[in-house]
Amino acid sequence: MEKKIEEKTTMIDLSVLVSALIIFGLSLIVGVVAVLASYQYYNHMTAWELKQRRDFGGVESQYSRLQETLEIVNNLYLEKFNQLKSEGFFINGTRLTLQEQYLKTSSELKLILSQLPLFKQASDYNFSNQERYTIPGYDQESEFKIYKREINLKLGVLHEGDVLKSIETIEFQKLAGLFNLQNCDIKRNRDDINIKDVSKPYFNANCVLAWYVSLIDKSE
Amino acid sequence: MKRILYLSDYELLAFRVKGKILTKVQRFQTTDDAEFVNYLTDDPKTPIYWLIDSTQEEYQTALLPHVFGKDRYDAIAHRKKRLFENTTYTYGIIQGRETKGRKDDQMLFTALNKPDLLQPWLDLIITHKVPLVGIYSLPLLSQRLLKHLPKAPYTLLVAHTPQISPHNPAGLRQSFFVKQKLQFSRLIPLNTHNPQEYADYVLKQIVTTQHFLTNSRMLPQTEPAPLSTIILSEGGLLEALNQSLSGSFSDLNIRILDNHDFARRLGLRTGEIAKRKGEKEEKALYLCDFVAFQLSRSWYTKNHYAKVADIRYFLYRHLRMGLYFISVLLLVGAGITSLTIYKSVAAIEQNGQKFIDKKQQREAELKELRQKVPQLPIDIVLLRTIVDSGDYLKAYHILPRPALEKLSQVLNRHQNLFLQRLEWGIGNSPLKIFQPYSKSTKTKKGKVEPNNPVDEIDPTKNFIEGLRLHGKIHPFRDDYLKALRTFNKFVADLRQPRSGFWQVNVLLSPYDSTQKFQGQIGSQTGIGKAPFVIDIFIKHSHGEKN
Repeated sequence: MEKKIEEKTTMIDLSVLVSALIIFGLSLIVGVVAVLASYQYYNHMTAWELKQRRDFGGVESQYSRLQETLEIVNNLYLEKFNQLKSEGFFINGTRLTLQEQYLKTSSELKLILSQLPLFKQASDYNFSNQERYTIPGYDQESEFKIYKREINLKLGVLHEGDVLKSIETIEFQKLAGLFNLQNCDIKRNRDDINIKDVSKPYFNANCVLAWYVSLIDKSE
Repeated sequence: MKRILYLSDYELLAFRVKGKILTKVQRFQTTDDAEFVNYLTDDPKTPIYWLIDSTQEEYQTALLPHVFGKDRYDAIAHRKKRLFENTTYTYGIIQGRETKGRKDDQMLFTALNKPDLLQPWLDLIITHKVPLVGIYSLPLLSQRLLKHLPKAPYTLLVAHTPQISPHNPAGLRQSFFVKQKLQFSRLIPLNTHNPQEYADYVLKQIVTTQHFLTNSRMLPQTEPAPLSTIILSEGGLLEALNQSLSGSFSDLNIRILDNHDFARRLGLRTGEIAKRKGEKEEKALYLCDFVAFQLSRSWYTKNHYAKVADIRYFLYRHLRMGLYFISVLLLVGAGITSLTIYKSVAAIEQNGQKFIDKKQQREAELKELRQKVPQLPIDIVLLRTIVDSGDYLKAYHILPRPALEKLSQVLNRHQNLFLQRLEWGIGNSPLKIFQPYSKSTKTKKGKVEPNNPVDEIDPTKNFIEGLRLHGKIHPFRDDYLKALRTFNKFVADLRQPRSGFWQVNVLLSPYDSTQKFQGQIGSQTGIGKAPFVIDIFIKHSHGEKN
């Protein structure tokens, strides 16, 4: 019985296992450290590769932009832009404001109309309110904004050709901005024409001329 | 290499087996001798197999119910306790089953009745932490030799053992096997070196053993006795035995084998035998040599007597080896994993380097490109938007003059047509240019051009210039037929193919089929009018230049 108890109480002799346990522990540590270090290195290199990819992407993007720019320059975009600017369609911030441009154009138009062969009593003009104009298919959120005003012209003329001449004269004056004739309604006042009677207009015309200007507005 | 200890009642022998060479390394007679301690400390790592060959070993055959698992374990433990009260070194082995009756298990129980014999040696082995594989009964292991000997159902193996007491030169072990399974063994001293005396003594002992076996019913009582006796001996003793057998012991079934022949049959080669100072070199072979060699040849032999505490350093060794193995696996696994990762990293690095190279190349190209491109006044996207917008609006810049001039040319050919009103406009669809004409319901279906393409235009690419002519036939003398012909000719002229696209829609004709004729005959009053309204649409594209 004593021997049995002694057998059961025999303690594990760790001294013979110490070296194995130490080696096992060291192997475990070395193994884990090696794997973790490898992963760390892998992550570091992945991040490095991503950075190189991004850096290249950045340079590539600059390159594409520059190529695009060159293409634009080659396609006369810059010339066209300068022309639009000189035509007053694109209002540069350093020159007149939109409001100033409107006032300037309206006074110039008034002067032009006064010089046209029109029946003054039967002729007048008015500007509509300014409204934002968006070209179909273009980004409405863009900071580049086009504004439109309609100029309603009421013209009393002797001959229907005077209507065309009047419109062409207005356009010939090269007022700031782009002008597009939208519609014209020419009505004959009398069926018979008497060349001696030029006191009243033979034709009345109602025409709408659209006036476009643009600017860069970063406020929104 | 394997290390085997052999313990008899007289001494402890140390063997070393390397390949097929068995070498007696050293002999120890007392545990007080520092040589054994030196032997252990010289090589504390090689495990020890320990053979016991003692006169104090007891053998008991018994029948146990054929049960399994814990029941079997308990039954064997109980029987061992009952059979051998005074020793803890016991062993039980199932040797077969009865063929009749309850078919109980046939068991052999063995025990070392004098534990003090091995305890001091064992204590030293444990103290020096030498791994002990097991403690084995030599007679039990000797049954492995039978496969190399003539087979018989009842075999008595007689062989020499080394000295078993200070007074005898050797010992004689007789082991009895039934169907190759040990039933009983007996170790007696050999007192003589004289061959004739030796032969007589050996044969007398065989006869005595045979009588004992017969009397104890271990051997069937038939004539002649079915016992096959094999004597392993050597040298001049063999001749003496043969002579004696041809004389008074001729009725015994005995085969005599030369130890050296048997060793050759086993493949055993003996190495240089160690000797103590003053001892003669010993070349004799004993049963323990054969058993030790057989033990060394087997991969696993079940332990007989050693307790768990006795073999704990062997178990620790296993544990240690396991830990080393796991450590190696860990390192190899970590190495392979790291290598695989490094391989991936190498690919990533190569890829990254490609981007660096590409970037450098692009940067060089960029530098060249920068010199070619002038400085833009504003952002390129905005610049493009402004220019495209300007182009779009300029494309809408159409004056009525070209269309009116063409219309004028047609009208000049039709003097009876008188225009009262002319509407002109541009837009993306006819409805956006003109108000719907209120009298259009009167228009014949056929007069509107089918598959009206102006309704299908893409506003981002095209727009329409429209003319609406309000006129009448003048002068009109109530001749609708003529008026209609004039009007139709006019419309046909308008529809003549020309450059660009002109679509002519008649909204009001000088005459329509619902119109009724009535009036006073001969009177000029009641003469109707012949008005007409025509829409003309001209398709333009944004890229088109006026």
